[in-house]
Amino acid sequence: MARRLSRNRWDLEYDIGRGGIILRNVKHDNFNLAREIRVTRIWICDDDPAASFSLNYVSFELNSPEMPMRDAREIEASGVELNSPSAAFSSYHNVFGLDASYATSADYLAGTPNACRPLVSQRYLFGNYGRNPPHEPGAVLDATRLFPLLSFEFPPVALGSRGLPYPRYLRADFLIDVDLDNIDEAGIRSQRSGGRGSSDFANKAAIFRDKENLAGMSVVVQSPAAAVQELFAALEKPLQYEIVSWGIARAEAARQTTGRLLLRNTVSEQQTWDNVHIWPARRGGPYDLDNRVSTPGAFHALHCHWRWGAVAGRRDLDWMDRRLLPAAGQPQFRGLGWSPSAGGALVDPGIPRQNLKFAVTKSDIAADQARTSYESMRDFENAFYLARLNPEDVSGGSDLVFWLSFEVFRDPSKLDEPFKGTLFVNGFYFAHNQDDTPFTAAAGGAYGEASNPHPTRQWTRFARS
Amino acid sequence: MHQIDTSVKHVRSTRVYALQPVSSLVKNERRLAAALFGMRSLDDQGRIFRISPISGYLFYCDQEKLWKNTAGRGLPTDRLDVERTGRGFLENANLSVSCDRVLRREGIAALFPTDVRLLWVGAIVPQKRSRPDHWLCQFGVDLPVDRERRARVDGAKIDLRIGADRTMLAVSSRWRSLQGDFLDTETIGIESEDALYSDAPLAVHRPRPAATQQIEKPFPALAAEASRPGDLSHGDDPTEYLYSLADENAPQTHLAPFLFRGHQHHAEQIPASTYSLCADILQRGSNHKLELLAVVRGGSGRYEYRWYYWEPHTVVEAGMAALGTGPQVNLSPGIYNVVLLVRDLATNSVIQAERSVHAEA
Repeated sequence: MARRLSRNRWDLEYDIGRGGIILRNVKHDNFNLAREIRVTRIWICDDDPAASFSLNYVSFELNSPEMPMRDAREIEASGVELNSPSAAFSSYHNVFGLDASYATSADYLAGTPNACRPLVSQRYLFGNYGRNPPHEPGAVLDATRLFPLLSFEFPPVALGSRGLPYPRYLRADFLIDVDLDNIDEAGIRSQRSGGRGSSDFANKAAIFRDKENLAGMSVVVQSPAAAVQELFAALEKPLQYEIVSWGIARAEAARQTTGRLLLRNTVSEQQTWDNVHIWPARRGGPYDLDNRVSTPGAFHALHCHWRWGAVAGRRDLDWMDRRLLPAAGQPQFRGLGWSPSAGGALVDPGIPRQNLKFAVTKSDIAADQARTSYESMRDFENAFYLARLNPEDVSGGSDLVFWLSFEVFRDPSKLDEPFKGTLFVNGFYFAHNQDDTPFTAAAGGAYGEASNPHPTRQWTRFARS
Repeated sequence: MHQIDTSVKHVRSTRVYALQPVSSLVKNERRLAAALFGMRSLDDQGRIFRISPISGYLFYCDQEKLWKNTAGRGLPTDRLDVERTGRGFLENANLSVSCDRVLRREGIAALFPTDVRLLWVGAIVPQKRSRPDHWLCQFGVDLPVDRERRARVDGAKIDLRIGADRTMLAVSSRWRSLQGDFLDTETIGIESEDALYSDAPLAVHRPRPAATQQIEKPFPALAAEASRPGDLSHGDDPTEYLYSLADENAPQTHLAPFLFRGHQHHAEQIPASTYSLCADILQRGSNHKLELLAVVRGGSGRYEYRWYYWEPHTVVEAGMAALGTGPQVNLSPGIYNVVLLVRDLATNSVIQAERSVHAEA
């Protein structure tokens, strides 16, 4: 039975049922954010499932008979448990949380020396609203943050059993059914004169890969005629078709992944996307800009960033650049493996061998259910290929679902340590402000729409071919 | 945008506003819910009312009605009507509060500013519907800096959601009510006189007994030469005054003005009263230690510092710890989150800065 929580400007319902803690009708400051947020399924394997046919590739739903819940509770504002376990994100001010833990009901790898009952815990942390700590390196955006964390733990590999099967891989899939409000008055007048249909009131998305240096931002400041594509290394704004693609490729399987029609693809880090923005299709507001949204900016939008360009992690910017990116160098923008020429992945450093795949699709309830079932989700990308031969056009806006799939590979040099860590440490942030895009950015093309590379109607599209 | 008269070099009077202590708002939460919405409790028949114990921000929602108007019936049809309804609500709310003797005795005279600025107004249409559920009317806040000039309060926003028959469905206010205001002199070369008080914008006089809370006379400001607003040595960038409401989690006692000088994409803030403080944390790292410096601008120059820190990896076990009370503190190499709280000993004005710091061993 759903329980309603209205706390610290957040308002939501949550269920603790099959699927663990499922958030529904999530709002902040009365702005709708998501119809549903949940972990759809967890997968465990003793091998790389993309490169093997292991019989020990199994999946679990949280709070199912196979992975029952051990306890669940609401976390009050006074607890230090409200701090993110990730050092990079521990400075955010979380105001309450929800927490539940689970363990499998039967041994994984039963009958072998590495038989174990993996522990999984789910923790949602809900933030306050503001810009300190900043959400983006420009430090201009007021927003709230939501961390849908998932932690796991397996015991060390038993002595003398390294040649035998042991837990080597974990994958966790998340679903965010986004539900942002539109702003439009035509419906009031249309009671007399006819107006827009419900399909006009939807959400739009965009995907970006950052430039590693400040070149793009300098263009904005210096040249009013700059185009939005000069700001980013790659972008698709708005998203033209549904997509399933890669966000992080730091694990070995990234180089040997199953792709469309079972062709073998190679994914490099340069091909991956860095973030997703989702915003209302009809935005109203003070600007008559065809309901366009600014980027950088997106003052009423869901933002999910798992990497920033290298410049966002620099601590040695000169004073001029520091005025553009006053928060550059802070750990939430730096990431694992950061260098002056390449931004790092915003992942738990204890489990660096990670991939992240993501999808943005239309909300098709029947298809969604199919995707969360065992067989269809066995391969994250295939689930979408099988649901529809070709992705649908979402350029005009649609009711969108944002999917994330985190894959973790165990470090073979640390088998004598527990295999443990936390996923989705970056969380996402939600801004709901009036548009306050600085004039220079607005004039410099931030409201522009463009795609680079040119998108073709196929499910998997990379930031670089 | 107002151009500053750079010929004035000696004295500039600016207005400073004392914020209502959050504790008095929280203490009277139920009474405020009753005064504003006729509620018998904080959760009354689907209506909820909250005052944040940290920021004092107000939140109200009628959950029985918000998002339930699927046919979009009974909504006001034009923006002016919505704006008028919003302004009317704020005025009536202030009237209800000021008529309550208990609240008045607590020093709560008005919850909302008397002069709000419309940011925008629009009809809200949920996804998959074709008609609006309600109107959203957003107000920002301007405050007088002196007799001629007004300034935007950065961070202040009042959201009103207005439904069928002009019913107030929800209020989300990032605003803390004011306890009083007074003129402060930016001393540039002369010592300040006693602060003057006013209990209404532009009505300046000595305080009437019990009309406003007495605020200590500020010590003369010792603002650095570079901080003086008269010294606009960086050319003719547009400059304006600005008040800044702190984040939800940060303590704040006053709204004090800053000069906001635009520079391309970003701008700098210069303290423009003895109550205006800016604080930042500078990090000087070496292989052996992490040196943190408090960089504070504005105010009297006599500050009390309180440093706190926590380590992300041990926060659950160790929690937050005090780090020191001087302008400079040291940490061993590592990754920390550091909070600096600065209080001006002369004015009692406070400001908080925080950042993540790091130095590899």
